Amino acid sequence: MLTFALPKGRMLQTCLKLLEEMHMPCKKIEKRGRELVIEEEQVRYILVKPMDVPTYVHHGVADAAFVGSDVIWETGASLVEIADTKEGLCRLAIAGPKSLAERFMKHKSSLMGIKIATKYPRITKQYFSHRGIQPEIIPLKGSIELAPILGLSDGILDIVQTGETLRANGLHVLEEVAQVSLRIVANNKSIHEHWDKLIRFIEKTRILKERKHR
Amino acid sequence: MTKIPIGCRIYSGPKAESMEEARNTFLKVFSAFGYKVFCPSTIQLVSSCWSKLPSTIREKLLVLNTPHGEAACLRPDLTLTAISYISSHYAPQERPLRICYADRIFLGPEEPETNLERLQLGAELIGWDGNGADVEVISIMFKVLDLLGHRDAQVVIGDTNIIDFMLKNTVPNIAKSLRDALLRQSLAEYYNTLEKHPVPDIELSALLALPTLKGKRSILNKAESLLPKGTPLSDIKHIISTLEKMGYGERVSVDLALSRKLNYYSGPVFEVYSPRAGKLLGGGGRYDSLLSSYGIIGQAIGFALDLEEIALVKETKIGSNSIMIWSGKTPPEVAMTRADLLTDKGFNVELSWTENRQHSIDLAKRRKYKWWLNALTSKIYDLEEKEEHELIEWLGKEQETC
Repeated sequence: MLTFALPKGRMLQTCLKLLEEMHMPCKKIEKRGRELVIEEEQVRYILVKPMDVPTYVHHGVADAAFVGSDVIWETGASLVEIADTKEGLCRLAIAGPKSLAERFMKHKSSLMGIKIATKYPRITKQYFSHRGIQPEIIPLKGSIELAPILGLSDGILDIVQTGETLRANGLHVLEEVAQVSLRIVANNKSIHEHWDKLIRFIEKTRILKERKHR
Repeated sequence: MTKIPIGCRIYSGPKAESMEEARNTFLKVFSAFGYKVFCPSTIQLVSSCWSKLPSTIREKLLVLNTPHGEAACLRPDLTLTAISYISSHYAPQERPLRICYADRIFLGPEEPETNLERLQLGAELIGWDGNGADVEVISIMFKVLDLLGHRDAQVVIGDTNIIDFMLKNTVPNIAKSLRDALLRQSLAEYYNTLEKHPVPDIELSALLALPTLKGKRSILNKAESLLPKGTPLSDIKHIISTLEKMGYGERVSVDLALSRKLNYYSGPVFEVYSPRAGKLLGGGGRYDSLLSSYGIIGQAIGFALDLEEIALVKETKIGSNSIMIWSGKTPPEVAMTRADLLTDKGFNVELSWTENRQHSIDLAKRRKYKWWLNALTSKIYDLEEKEEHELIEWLGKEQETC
């Protein structure tokens, strides 16, 4: 039995579509009620919060999972990234009001102590540390764009898809931190134990990508 | 409430017993094969270890100042400690050296973990060239795992020389990206790098195939047809075929892209897992280049197992071998004589000094002991089956069963 963790929320539909394209059994999960554990043929699916997916895989509760590359980086979990689905494409970026853009154009010393509101404190710390800047991090759970508008922070580090929410709140992308996409990951032990099943994900992801490029 | 620091744990009861059993079995078996038990200092000087530690360990050191004003740290790694000791305490002609240990290491947590200390079982064979060393270490490790009830534990073997060979003609910065991706265990980044950067077709097909070459021995035949001529597969083939001859064939598999996190490995590497544990039990490999950094010429192979993971899966079956001895109104020396008799025969005992018979029986049940002995009458009761036996007769039967 292969245990597969799926992120609840907006990425779930994309994951189900991918499972279907990879010929994985997923009829029951499409018709699910409020259950969080669904078994179908030789696969057990568990539905968890996106930020918790790496934890389930890291501890071996789930053998494999779909998870965003931003979440993998933020949790720091030790996982095997077996394939990049190239779905759920977006980017992690630093954004802020125009006035902040000037500080980003000056010497890095002008950014020392910059206040950044974010759902990604670990990424923020690492990103600025690598540039020799110590930021003041304000961890928030949502509506990050509010923080600089109300003076809680100088800027934000967050996911940007179309940039419309930023524009609507008078914010601009100042720096791109990383490209984000949906990855298929596996537990360090499961990669050996279930390789015969997991290799299908690499092969089928490649086939799907090639089909897309045609 | 008595709190302990975040990331530390206290073990007691069956878990502690199971860990102690694993520790003793490990050291006993390796000692029988000539491995000397090594007990290093928990506190080390930063100045002695700093230059040899990889940056990933340096940034997680737990540092302190000794009352003597010396900058020190809690021991972060046992292999480095052992090699450092051997390099300065043994003459070259004394090699090969074999050491084993069961001790703690202390490091800042690797997210999302919080633990600051880990208990490791490990062994190192230093200064012997050839595949015999790899097979020796792996097969004794199997022996220990079997004794501890991990008869389903599996070993996955790779070889860093294969990855080096595959990347030797690749443009250096692309080779570095590919190597880093394998070290980070990101096949997604590995394939993304191959997609983005032009690699000659002749190399591309082999590089694409490399991470998929995992599985049982037959995968080596596939590797021979897919990988370029001259790929150094002989070491891994020899190790696997020898382990097969020793009866471990079903428990060994291959992963030709296997990279261990610590970058001091320079030859065959391996990881150990149990289908019943959520995480790897441990791993190891050859580390010739680490030796040379300490001025030792030759090869070494070593491994470490996570004692907690091993004990987590296999917990000692409590009670079946334990006897509560009720002294009642018998003099203590009589109860102690009974206890000596039973412990000499290999049983675990607990003495119950209460005068209340029922209290003593109730305590034995709470402890989940199977047996309760009345020291005065020398009658032993099976608390599960509710049967009574004469101690001497019962001992005779038990010995026969054993």
